[in-house]
Amino acid sequence: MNAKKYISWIVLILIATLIPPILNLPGSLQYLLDLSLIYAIVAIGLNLLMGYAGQISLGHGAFLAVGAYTSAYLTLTLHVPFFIALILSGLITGIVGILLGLPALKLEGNYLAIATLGFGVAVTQIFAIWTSFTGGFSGIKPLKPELFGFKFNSYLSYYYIILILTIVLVILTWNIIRTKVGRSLMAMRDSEIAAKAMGINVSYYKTLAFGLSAFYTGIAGSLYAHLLGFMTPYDYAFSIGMSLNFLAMIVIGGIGTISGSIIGAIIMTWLPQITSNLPIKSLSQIITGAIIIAVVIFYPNGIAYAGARLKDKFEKLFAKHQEKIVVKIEK
Amino acid sequence: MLSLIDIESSYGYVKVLKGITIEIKEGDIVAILGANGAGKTTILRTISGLLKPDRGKIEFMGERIDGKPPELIVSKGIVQSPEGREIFPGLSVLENLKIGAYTRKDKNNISKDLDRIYHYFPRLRERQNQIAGTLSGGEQQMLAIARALMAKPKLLMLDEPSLGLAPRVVKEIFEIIKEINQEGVTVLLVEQNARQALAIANYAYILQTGLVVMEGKAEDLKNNEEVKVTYLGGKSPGSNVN
Repeated sequence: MNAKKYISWIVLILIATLIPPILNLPGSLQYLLDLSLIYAIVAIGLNLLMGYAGQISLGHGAFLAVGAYTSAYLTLTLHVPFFIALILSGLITGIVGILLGLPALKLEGNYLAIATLGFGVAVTQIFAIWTSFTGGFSGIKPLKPELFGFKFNSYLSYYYIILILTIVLVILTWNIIRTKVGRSLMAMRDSEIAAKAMGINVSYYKTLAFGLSAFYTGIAGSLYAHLLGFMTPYDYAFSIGMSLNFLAMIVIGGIGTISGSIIGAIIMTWLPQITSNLPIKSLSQIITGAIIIAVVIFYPNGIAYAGARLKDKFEKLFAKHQEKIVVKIEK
Repeated sequence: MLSLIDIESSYGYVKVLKGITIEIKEGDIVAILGANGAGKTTILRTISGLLKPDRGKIEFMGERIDGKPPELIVSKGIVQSPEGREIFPGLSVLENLKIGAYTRKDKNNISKDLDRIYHYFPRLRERQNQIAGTLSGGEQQMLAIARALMAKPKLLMLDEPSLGLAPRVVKEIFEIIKEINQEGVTVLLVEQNARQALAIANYAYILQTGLVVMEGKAEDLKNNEEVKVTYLGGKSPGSNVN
């Protein structure tokens, strides 16, 4: 990473750290801020799978559920401390991801999409019936996390846990994609044949990509459970609809970019909220949809590239302008 | 060094190789020539483990390798540069080359080899941070060969390196192949461009619908009337035009 990029990330982290207490947001908006970062973690995980490894998943809502219920079960029933439960949720969801990755060895493209979709539906159904684990329709109440006697009761204090984890996972992702593993994933994405011909074990990396992606989502699931404080298997975040939302996040933000995953998650979480505050309430969803379509049309590579494109345009404009001046002077 | 004995391979129910026997000596450039669909690429895919043969034996330096997974075969020193320059378009030139060194254990020598490869292909050094998908056709072909070299092959297999390139670029690439060979890498070259291939090869096999129909020293084949007519675009003995 060059120095400029480095500095801009640090500035971003500073803003993310300082803005919430300065703005002193009302609870509901702080909750939304927490939520958008949790979704950003899912989006980064999904982007690792889709943007970098070239696989597809329409079942990430289900991974989120696996992570959330694992964490709830560990803390409530087995009385495991939150932070250990958090890591375990990531790992267990990661194992589930590896299992889902196995059919991916045989399936590609649309077929893989359908298989993961099936997984998404199955998990929600299983969790709805499996009441001893999930509490079923009456739900369960995951506790607020505690560390050294400090209880993260408020959305604001919890925000910092999520923020730190997001930063850690961004750094982890960054290290994955810059090293051998990342190069192998991208090679597999670009050309499976050539990757094999170079001696890359494609089966291994496909399963690894699913495992890693599910690990991120499991961590996010655990964070989600303890943010919510009450959940049922019918929660929207665990549904197929949410899985499609996650897909929309990375497409809008930018496939194959970390920053795009975060931008996409923030937009997809906040946009419906903002439009629902417009005077014409019934139009909220239509406006949200229209904005998404517009973004996809004007920034087909995602918003993460919008900055670069704007800069490019300005430079071209400037160059033209300069040309004109030069021509005038010559005349 | 490498021998294929009575190899049969198929895609699904379609038998493509119908009993191929080929011998490659260390230090040679061996060419496999033939028209589209003769089975040239299938031979390479079978050797590199991307395709399992139905019958027959493949031995590399005294060891059976047929049916082994591709990553193991690469680590033994057989590296293929696939047809149609299957580079990784989303990665930079340098990252493509690093992928080439994927199976190597001697990580310390990699930067030295990178220098050597840039010596063969100076243009790749100029463009090492460029995204590979934006290279020209000739440069992509160079990258595909360079990437294969990064694996430090004992046997380098090239699939149609001349495909879709301007004659001048083809000549340049074939000269580099010769240079690589002179520094000790055995080369198996699959080509439709028989003229260029025979110009640098020591030995050649001619393939027709899955069978070797002719083989011999490149010199002899070049002067063979039948080969001239069919593969070198020469005049047929019967024609009296000019």
